[in-house]
Amino acid sequence: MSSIPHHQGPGHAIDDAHAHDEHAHHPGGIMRWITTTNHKDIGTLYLWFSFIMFIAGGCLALTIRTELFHPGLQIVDPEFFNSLTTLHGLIMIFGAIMPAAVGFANWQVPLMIGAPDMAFARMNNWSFWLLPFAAVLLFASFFVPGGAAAGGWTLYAPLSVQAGMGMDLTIFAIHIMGASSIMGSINIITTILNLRAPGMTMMKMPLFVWTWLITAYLLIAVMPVLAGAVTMLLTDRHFGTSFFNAAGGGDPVMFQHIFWFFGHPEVYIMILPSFGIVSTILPAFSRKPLFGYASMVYATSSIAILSFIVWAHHMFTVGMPAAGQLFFMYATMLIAVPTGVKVFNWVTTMWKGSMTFETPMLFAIGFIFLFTMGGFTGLVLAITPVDIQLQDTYYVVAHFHYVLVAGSLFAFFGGVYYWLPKWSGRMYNEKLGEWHFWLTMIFFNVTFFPMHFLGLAGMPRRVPDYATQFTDWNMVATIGAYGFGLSQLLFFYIVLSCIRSGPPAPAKPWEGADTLEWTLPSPLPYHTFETPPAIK
Amino acid sequence: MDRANTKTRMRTARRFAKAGCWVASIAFMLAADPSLAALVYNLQTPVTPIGEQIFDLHTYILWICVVIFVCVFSVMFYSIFAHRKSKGHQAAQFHENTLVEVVWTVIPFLILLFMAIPATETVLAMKDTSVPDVTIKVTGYQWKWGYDYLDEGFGFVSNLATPYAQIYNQEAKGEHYLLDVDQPLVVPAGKKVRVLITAGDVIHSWWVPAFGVKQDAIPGFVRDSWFKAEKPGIYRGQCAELCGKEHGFMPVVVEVKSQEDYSKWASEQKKKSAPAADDPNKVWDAKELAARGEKVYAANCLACHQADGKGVPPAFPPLDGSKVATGPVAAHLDVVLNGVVKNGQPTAMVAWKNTLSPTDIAAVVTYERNAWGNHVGDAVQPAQVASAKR
Amino acid sequence: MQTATPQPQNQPRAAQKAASLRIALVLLSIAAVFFGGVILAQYSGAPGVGIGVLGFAILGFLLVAIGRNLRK
Repeated sequence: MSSIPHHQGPGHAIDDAHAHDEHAHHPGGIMRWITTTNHKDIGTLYLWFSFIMFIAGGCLALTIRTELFHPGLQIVDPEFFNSLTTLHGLIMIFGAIMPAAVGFANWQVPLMIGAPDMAFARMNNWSFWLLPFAAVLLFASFFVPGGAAAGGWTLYAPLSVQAGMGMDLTIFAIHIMGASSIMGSINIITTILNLRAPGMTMMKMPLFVWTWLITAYLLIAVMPVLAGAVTMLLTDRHFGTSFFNAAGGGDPVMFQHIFWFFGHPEVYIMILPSFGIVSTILPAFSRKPLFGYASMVYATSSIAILSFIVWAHHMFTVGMPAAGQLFFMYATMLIAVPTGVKVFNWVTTMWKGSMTFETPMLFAIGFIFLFTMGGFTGLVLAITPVDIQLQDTYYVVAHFHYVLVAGSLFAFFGGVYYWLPKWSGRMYNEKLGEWHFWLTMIFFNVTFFPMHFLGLAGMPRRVPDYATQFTDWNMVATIGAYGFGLSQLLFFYIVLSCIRSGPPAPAKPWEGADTLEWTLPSPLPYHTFETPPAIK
Repeated sequence: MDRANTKTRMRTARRFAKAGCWVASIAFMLAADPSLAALVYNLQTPVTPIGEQIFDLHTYILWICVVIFVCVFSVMFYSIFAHRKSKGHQAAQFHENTLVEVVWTVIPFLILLFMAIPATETVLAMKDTSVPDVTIKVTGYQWKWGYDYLDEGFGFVSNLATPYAQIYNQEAKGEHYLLDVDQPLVVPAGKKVRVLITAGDVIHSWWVPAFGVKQDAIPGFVRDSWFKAEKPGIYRGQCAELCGKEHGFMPVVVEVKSQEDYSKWASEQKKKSAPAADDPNKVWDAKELAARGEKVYAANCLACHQADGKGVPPAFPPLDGSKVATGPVAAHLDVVLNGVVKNGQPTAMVAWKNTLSPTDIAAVVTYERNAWGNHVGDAVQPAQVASAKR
Repeated sequence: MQTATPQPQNQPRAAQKAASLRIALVLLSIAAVFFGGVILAQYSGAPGVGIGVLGFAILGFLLVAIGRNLRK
């Protein structure tokens, strides 16, 4: 790749000439990856990191499911079980889903807006390389006295104040990951606002870019809030403050308010980039422009804004006044409107198209189908009285896995299949890709659909053992979980064999694709759009 | 319940169809195993008015969702079937239509209104904890529940009764595995029971699915909820908020008895915990009173007002240096005897006049006036309490 | 949405770098304010109100920041 001649185009925008010179003779081997400031390399790093975390978090999940195969305690003790659920949540959210989304942004945002690279290439390197350290802290916490954090990924005080040293490591890991996210977001926002090719107005940007712009704003607004919350937790634990300690004049519920003030926008941080990916894939395979582009932008923005005023629907059982419960119920229900608009737009994009069903399209359709089901259970949970009955049961577990696994993760799978030919210059095995989709789709539902029944019937979440009437569905879910986990090894094989020995991909393998990256050759040159493209 | 059962069956059928027949086939395979219990798939049968409202609300919303689901996805699957390239379908190029976009923004909004109205009614009903017949204080501890009958003046702790041998698979699991306690909460049927919920260490959540009651137990704060169980029976729930290692092992069991049986049970409990009768006209010396008062305080007041008398403000005011505990005796006695009512609502400070004997009240008031930084120096006699009671 | 104003990419490199830096600093200061704000709000006596103010600040900022750039 170093043979590609590079020239300093007039619109050259990498912020550091030296960083760029290093690219020309970039080091080989491991040093290439450690020192890289290239958005494509960093995107690749993010995606592999997130895959490793996905597998690690998946192993924790399978241990959980194995323990829950039968009632009684079989393989883990209750405290370790709590660590498993806690770390599974933290790793999947902060290690798998969020970095994967940033990986897509790194690859695609510059390509889609005709920018040569991210605005701050060195900071980009930093934002990635902080993550492995955070991951090491999280995994190391399993081996410190007292074990890993075991208070749930929500880290509610005062339980988390009681916890051992593992909690401190978790807090530091969250600080580091937060810093990484904030740097990444600053980079993405600046790139989008400042580095668009001439003629690429905001309302011409592909929807993926829009969704990431809004996601990045959300991140900048709420990651510091989470950092603040865990910092107060840290000082409560070690420096005698009592922010969340009632005996010292604090309020344990305040922790929940602050946490969910971060936590609800966080939900949209995880799903909005997926909306963007699906909105890119669907028109391409329907051979028809995205329906309602402008309303998609407005709907995304409304969702982002509403996400700041619904947080307390995670806390209906703390005993708010009736007025509070009603306000948060109405606000939450309101989110169904822009979300509905999105689903209707997607379905209408497919309507009267000329569809083909390659793997990316299958995942996009799977996304719409299952995400909508997660949306419906979300609506059920928005209804305060019903939520009070279902809060902290497996129904909630089912709900958020429908929106985060079948939502975010399915879209990411679709995105990988869609862009892999462009990124690697090789085609993946379509037949195997379709197998991966169907296995994932089927086993996902076997795993998570029965959890709705369990929750309705009264099985609480975060328990290592359960009453015997819940046995059947737990067995089904465990079987499904193993199927789901093993199916992801197929994904690993497909990607690996594609990169190593897939047949060469044409510049534009998808007939209906029309964003800027498809105007470039496959595989992509190491440096792209050094001269900004002309936008019609 | 017949109607609800039919509904349930229909709903299940639809859900199976939705998820695909493979779920059904695996389920049937498992259901064929006689050692497994019957499949559970819906909310537990409610036994309180609120529980019923929640059950119906859920059914209603679920059906609305099913209808929307069928509409949206029949369009999508028709399109997937008909508008495919392999059938030679040519792509249309339309990409916006203001009218449809407005319509599908407004219609969901209207549907939401129809969901919000009944939900609002239920929220308001759930919050109405006024005029209870019985008030019980529930305290979550790691990992058991404490129940205090504030009107009757006795209390006990309720622990998991499932033996460890069952949990660790050395014995066959009993019928109510993990949902059995040594001493259940007992309440009268058909009476409005108000539960004041708090915790001693971390946050727990008191949940009885059949009652539709789930309320977090928060250390330092008292929250309340209520239920009116119509049918005698035993109802089982669990702690619903992760509270540490044994979170899965602190069940909530409520036994609903007829009013008659309840009264009998309550008087037995009272007898068990009542102190030996005292001569109400005995004149005590201050030291004796304070010593006895300290014990009464530890048993009844300490949980809220704390051993150091500092309380947990704002929910539990301090007694150390307080205006009441260092002011006139009459006002102090009034608070202890009659409790504190704010805006017509009873607070966590309940009336003790029927719970504690005049001697105990005299003792505890004397103790409070002369403990910590309080040095009023007076001794309140049982006779004074008896006259204040009248 | 078409405008006659020069597009970002036409700016000289130094000017663009300065503009990027300006955006980054604004964003960073927002992050810093929110981090400090959420902790300081606890000392304000009414943390709920403090956080509410912060929340509206976030919303207002989002609207202004995106609104300003929509023209470009």
